Amino acid sequence: MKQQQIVGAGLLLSLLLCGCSTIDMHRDRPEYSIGVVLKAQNSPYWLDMSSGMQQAATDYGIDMTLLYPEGEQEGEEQKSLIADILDSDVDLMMVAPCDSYDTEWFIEKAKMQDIDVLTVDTRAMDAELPYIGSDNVLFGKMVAEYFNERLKPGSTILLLYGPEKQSSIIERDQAIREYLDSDIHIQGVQYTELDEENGYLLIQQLEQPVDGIYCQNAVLARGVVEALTEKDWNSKVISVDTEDDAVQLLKDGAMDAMVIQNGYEIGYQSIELALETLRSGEQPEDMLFDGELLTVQDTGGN
Amino acid sequence: MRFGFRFRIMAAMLAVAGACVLAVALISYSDSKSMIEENYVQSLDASMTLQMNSFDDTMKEMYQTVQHISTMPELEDCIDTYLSSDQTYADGTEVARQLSALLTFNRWGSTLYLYLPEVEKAFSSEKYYAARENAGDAAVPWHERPDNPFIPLYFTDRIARASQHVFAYVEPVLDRDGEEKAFLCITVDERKLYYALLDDLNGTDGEEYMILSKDGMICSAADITQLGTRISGLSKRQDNRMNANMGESGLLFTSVEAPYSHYRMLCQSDLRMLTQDIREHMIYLLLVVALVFTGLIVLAKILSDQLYRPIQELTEAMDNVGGGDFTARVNDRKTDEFGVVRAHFNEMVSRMDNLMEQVVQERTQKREAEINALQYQIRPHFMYNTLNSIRFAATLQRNHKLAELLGDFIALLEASTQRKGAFLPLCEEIRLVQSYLSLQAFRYFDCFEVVYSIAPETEDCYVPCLLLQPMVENAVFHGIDPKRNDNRLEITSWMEGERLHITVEDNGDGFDMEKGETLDQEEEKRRLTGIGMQNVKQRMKLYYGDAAYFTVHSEVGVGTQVEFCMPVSHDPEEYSIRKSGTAE
Repeated sequence: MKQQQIVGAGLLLSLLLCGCSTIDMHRDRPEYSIGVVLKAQNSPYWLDMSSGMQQAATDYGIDMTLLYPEGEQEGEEQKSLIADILDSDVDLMMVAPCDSYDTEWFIEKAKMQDIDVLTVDTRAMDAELPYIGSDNVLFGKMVAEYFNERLKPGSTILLLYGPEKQSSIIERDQAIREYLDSDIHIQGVQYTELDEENGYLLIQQLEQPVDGIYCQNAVLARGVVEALTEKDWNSKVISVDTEDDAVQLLKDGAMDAMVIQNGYEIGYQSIELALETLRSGEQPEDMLFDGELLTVQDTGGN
Repeated sequence: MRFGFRFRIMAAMLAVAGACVLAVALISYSDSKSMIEENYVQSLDASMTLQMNSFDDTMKEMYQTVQHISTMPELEDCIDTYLSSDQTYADGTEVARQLSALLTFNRWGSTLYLYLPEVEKAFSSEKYYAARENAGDAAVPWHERPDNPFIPLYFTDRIARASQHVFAYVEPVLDRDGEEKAFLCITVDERKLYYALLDDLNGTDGEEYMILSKDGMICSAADITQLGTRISGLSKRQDNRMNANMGESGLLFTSVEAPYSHYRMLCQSDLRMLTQDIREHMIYLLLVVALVFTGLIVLAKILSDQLYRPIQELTEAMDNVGGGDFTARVNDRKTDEFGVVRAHFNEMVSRMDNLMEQVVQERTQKREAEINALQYQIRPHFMYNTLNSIRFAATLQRNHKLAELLGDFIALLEASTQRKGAFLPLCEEIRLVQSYLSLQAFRYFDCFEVVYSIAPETEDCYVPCLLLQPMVENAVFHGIDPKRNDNRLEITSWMEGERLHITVEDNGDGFDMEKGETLDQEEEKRRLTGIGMQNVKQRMKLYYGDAAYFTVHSEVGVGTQVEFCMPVSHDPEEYSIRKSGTAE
């Protein structure tokens, strides 16, 4: 017995000294993999939302593939991305559809491959899918109330939207029309690509000044304000975007008011909701986010 | 084996110390090694994950680029224009120019190819070999579709000016009816990717990095001859997000999977390089342990010497005592625990010495007493017989007084010589005293009175033979003045609890107690009785030890009183020396 102990101790000692290693470590793949297809990555709002999603994916240790087409108008490109996401091995797909009326095909495909689908930022209008994003009806109401408050009866306004087949635009448009005072007239509605140049060109083409302009986002509003300055028209401009950008734009006097939506928070919480969906296996309820109206006066701008 | 115990203690101390030091050294080495290896794997994981994220970002960007270009109306126009043209060389270079203009992604030698199956022509965004005839699957696997659309293809590009390995995405370009009318392919060069992602890492000694496809083929490595082959020596599967395990060749294989593209970055590391420092440190540590051990041996020797010294002194002293030398002592210097042991040892030896001396003395006295007794037994027999003859002669001559006196004398002599036992009942002792006093009354013409106050319960008590006679003799010799007629002797006995008291009192001249010894000394000089007061004292001591005593109280002109006090005994053998001798 004693001899065995001595031999054992000797073996252990020699094993230690000869430096033999028995490393066997591993890190498992995350339990879940989520695919996200957004509409674009060309505004602070989308960048914030992506950051929120990335952060949540890191915090919760899940794989996330985030894709987006070149712009919100690139419906075909987005369809190709959605198809590829569904061909990859994701457990859940989150989509901000460029076309709210063309979602049935991917819902079908996802169902066949047993992949859950959620919508973020923009609803599916031709199918029932859980939605996570801003309360666009509320935003439309806030815009209408801003015009009601700041414009005299008989004033005219112009509504500038992104691609027209998106639920966010449709909902806001309906809410603005519903809550706008009857003595304020909507002079025109324009659907356009959301960039500065388009905003500038649209205003340049106007022959008559308008009293109020609603812009879908701050990037578009920048172009609008640029053209208004050139034309020396004093129209009230209101748009919807993220806070960081909004404060600076209001301070610069580029706009009169903004409805703020928190892209980062929407992104972060959408991943949390996706994870909850995967864990529970049940379709979640819609998750709506409030906005906040910020005016030039609030920021101390001109 | 004189130092056996010492050496065992020393060996035990050294073994414990050595085992502790060795255990600490080995555990610390083992822990450090595991910790270093674990940290190394974690750091590899982190750095490789970073590189693979960069790889993934590029692949994703390539994928999105080709997706975007494939739906661009400009591309459609370009294709239509070419197909409707004469398809001359110049038309071909125009397509290449437009492809180059469409390709906004520019990294790691990125190139965009367009293949028109209808005319079997391929165009490149590169200026060299911009257009190529009959470029079917031989050049680019146009129709190959991976399981996962995000996994890039890996192949040898033969359209380019020199064969090169590329990572690529192929995307069909659809017409309005959804038919595939062209294919777009975007590639990045493996060499450029290698220099961007792996070359810096490969600069580290003992490490070799490479990129593997999902099925384990080498797609990017320092040595281009390895490309397209499979890695050897892998003993375990590398199929988690990160795997680190030892291969058959003793190398550590660590691989990290890119989550998007599913390619893996693999690192082969020679762990000996990693743990070389700590092994050297271990050898240094063992040397230190050896040195410390040597120091410990010296220290243990010094300490054990110091600890052993008092034990050694004690051992030597015990040896001496065992050999009979009761004068042996241990020097008592310190007051520690050994000091206490030394003190107790010395005290014990002193006591033993005293006891031995006492025993020797008692034995000598006993022997002398026995010799004396034997002598006493011989002489009186001779005198006893003679005296009986004289008494018989006196009776014949009708001298009855003389015969009575001789009778008393013979009785006295008989009592003193007839040693059936050393003890006799008090009543018999009194009878002896009466015989003796009857003789002395004749001598002193009845000039004294004797009063006996013997308590009846004391009569049966055993007392040493001839205990009272010497005292009575002293009283007669020193206490009676023949010129007086009121001489009085009083013998009293009584019991107090378990103690017997006997007094012999006279009303003679007495003596000065301060010169107490005079009585005894004179008596010894005279040797009138042969049994003096000293004899009584010694016998009392021998028989009773400290349990009995006798006192002499004298006052000049008043008288002398001698008092005995001893334990009450009804057994003649209870205090006999023979019995105590047997008991011993």
